[in-house]
Amino acid sequence: MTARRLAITDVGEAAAHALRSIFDVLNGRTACRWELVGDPADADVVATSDFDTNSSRTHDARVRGKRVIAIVESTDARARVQTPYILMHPFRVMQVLSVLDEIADDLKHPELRIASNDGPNPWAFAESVRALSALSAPATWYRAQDRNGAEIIVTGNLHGCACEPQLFEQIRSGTTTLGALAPALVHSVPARYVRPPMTELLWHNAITASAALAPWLSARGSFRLVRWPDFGSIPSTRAQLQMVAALSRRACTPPELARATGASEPEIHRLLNALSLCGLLSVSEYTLADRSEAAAGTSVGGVIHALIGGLRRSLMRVS
Amino acid sequence: MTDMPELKLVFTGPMGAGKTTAIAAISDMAPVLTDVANSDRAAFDKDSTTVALDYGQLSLDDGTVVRLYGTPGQERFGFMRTILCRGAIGIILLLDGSRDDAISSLDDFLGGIRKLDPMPATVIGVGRCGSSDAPVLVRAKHHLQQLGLTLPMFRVDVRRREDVLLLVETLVCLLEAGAGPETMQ
Repeated sequence: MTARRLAITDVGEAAAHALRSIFDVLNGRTACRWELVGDPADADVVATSDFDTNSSRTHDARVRGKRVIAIVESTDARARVQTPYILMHPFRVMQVLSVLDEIADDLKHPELRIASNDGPNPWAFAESVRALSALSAPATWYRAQDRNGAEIIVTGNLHGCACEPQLFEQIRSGTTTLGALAPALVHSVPARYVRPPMTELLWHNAITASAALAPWLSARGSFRLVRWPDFGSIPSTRAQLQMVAALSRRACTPPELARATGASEPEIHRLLNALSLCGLLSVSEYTLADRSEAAAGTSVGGVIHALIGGLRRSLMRVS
Repeated sequence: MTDMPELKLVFTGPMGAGKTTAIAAISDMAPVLTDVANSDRAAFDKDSTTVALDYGQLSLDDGTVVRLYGTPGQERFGFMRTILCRGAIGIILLLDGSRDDAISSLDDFLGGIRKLDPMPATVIGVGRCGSSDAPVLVRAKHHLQQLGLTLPMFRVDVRRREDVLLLVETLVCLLEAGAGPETMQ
């Protein structure tokens, strides 16, 4: 079993004690063997409450470049959590287990990019959403801001969000980048805010974030659709419809999807990113069975092939 | 005689879901309607309703004609659905999201479609449901998942031609991906 080292630093006494206690209970039940070390320089993973972007600790070379678990001990609205791994004190044992196992899995893939404090991270918002989805904290509000300080607030259970109409337009058009979510004290939602459906926010955020595959997805993965996105509410291109239709029929790797639909690599990455963040995708390791399934699924009969071309021309005429 | 199979798209769903409107939105010709005065205003309050079928068509460049059929919505004409859906290359199921029985309608109509062998490519449009996170849509999507079906389900307004085109384009993409009658391959 692989061994990983964890350092707990700049965490309040109560939270640090609780974390160590849970750690002792959990060790042996996690995906890898964890060892507590005192110096962050010796650790693979650092658990810290001092995760503010401007803090000296997060700029410390001993911490930079390592996986960071943000320990949230208060609802400090100023905090900017630049890590997908968040634990809120008081801790729940299963949350700690889940975060440790996720990091252990993450560390198996060194090519995955760690959320960085250097410049805007296009995935900061998405990764904090993914971390939040493991917390299930409905009573708490979270806030993210773009570079201009415009804010969007999100409920802890990820069922609702609210922001200025202008900010949502910018998110839709991909002209702004949201930072990570952080706990916020929100007494009431300003009346001028719009409340877009959460899935639309996640879709637009992910599809415009980057032409590269999201950090939590592997190019070696085989992807299959769990549920269709609502293209009646979010705009779609024919390439996206073709890709989603293909993924609804069989699991595909990105190259298989490219062969099946003729979509470009950036189109494929953006779609997979959006489907994944919206929870519409299942991912598995690529297998030989997938390969034969994919090969079997690509033949469309001559009548259908002719019909598809004819129908498309006809529909273009109608539109 | 030609061995070309009949190419038909079927619009189905309960009364008032917008099947006649959807066919009219994309048909090359004025649809042939079999509307009569609605004698079942308890089920849906509108002046007329389809009793046999609606018919429209799309003429393709190569002379192929795709027939567009709309099934009657009333339950007592349910036998017509089976007849019309048999052999269809695709089915567009339209639902009225404002009705309390939207989920049971989904269940009823999908039950009929799933009995077809092979099951045609199917796309679902839900009208009058407000936003994309409307409870009826969320429930309907969960219901599909429980049934183990990964079918496209979109919020639509069939009075908007682009929404009807989205449903048909999605059906075409499903056919392209290999969904639909094996006999066509």
